[in-house]
Amino acid sequence: MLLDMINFEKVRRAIVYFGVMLLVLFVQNIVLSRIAPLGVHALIPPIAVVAVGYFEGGVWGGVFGLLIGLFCDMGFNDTPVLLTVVFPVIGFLSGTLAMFFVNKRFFSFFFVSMAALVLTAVCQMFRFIAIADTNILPVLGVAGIQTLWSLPFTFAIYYPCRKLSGVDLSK
Amino acid sequence: MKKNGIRLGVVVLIVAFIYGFTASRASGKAGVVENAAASLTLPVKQGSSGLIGWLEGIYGYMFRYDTLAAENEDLKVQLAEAQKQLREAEEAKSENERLRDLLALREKHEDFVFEDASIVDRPPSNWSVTYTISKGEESGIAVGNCVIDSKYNLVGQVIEVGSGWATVRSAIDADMRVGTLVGEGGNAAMVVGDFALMQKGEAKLTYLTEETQVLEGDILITSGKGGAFPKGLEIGTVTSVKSEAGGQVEYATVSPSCELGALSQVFVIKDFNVME
Repeated sequence: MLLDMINFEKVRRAIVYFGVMLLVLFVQNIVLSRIAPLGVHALIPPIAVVAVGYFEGGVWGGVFGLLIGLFCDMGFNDTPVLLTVVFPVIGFLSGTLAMFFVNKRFFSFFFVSMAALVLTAVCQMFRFIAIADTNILPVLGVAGIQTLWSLPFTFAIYYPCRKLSGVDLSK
Repeated sequence: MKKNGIRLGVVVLIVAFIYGFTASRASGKAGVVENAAASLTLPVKQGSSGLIGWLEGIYGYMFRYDTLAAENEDLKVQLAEAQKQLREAEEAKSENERLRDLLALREKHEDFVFEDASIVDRPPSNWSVTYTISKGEESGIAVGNCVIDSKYNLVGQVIEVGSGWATVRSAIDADMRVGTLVGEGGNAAMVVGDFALMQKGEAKLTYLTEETQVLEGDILITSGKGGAFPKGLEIGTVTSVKSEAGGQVEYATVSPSCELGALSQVFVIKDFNVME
């Protein structure tokens, strides 16, 4: 009786995406932390959030974004809750976009991911531009390079997530 | 009679042959007979010794290979052990040097209450330079505590404390502010983090008064004003000076004295005598 109340398919998907989150955090903190072309690290969690929102819907994207944002804020030590707030928004918006406005092919995914990366970078650099007396050019440079370095990872994240979600684009 | 003559001839030949052979051996010089015999037997000897060597090689390959492989493994283990001991000795030497520095530091500043900690993480952020250290509130570490290395150089300041960990903001972080004394006159100024300089591993010396003279190579120490940092900690060295058109120094860039990239152990100053 109790077992009938549990949606095992959703539990399975939750476990799978938890694994995806751990993998993304591992790559971000262990691998990409050692690779910094021009002194700037790539940032891949926003792409993963977009992917989950794209293939599983806005709610799943939002929850995934909330959890991964929490871990990213804990890991980066930049600001207390910035990414915890921004990533759920990205996840929910990408899910909504994929549901009503754009298709789920790679081309559109690439541009939505780019928009997510730009949004994340703008939020990260906001305190340097709006609050502190900082030269804006280096800040924009870091934001731009961070976005640029992250974009190639859209390939590495899109196809596995599409496979995991079981979305069939041939129809 | 005829037979006896033949037998006698054979005996004489044999005796002559033996005599000749013995005589040539005694003189150390090979005779014609010996040379002839040697030229016949030498190729056989060479061939047989080559064959024996080849057979020994096969035997060695078949039966001594395992012994050699085992010996090789033993030697590898011994080499690894020796390398491990060397590494441990190097670590012990390094730790010894750090502890000696710390001892000198304790003797110099008896008012300091230290807590040593290891750097366990360097977050890969593009927007700040922070470290996570291995000790937290259970060791008496609090937000605002000053962090130094074993050579009395400023590393940063504790900005967050948890159970078993604390986050240290680096001296070059864009949000860092430290009061400093400049030059022989000891004029007050501020070392502040700057986003662009942070990417290069440097900070900015600013809020300079008109009478302050800053030269490249000047060593900056903490002023101790405000009570956040003890007086006299070395912050860094002036690497370049930027002046305005009138000649007044606008700001200078500062390279931190501590090797931020190579730090592994730090010391948190939990308490000290504030001098105003």
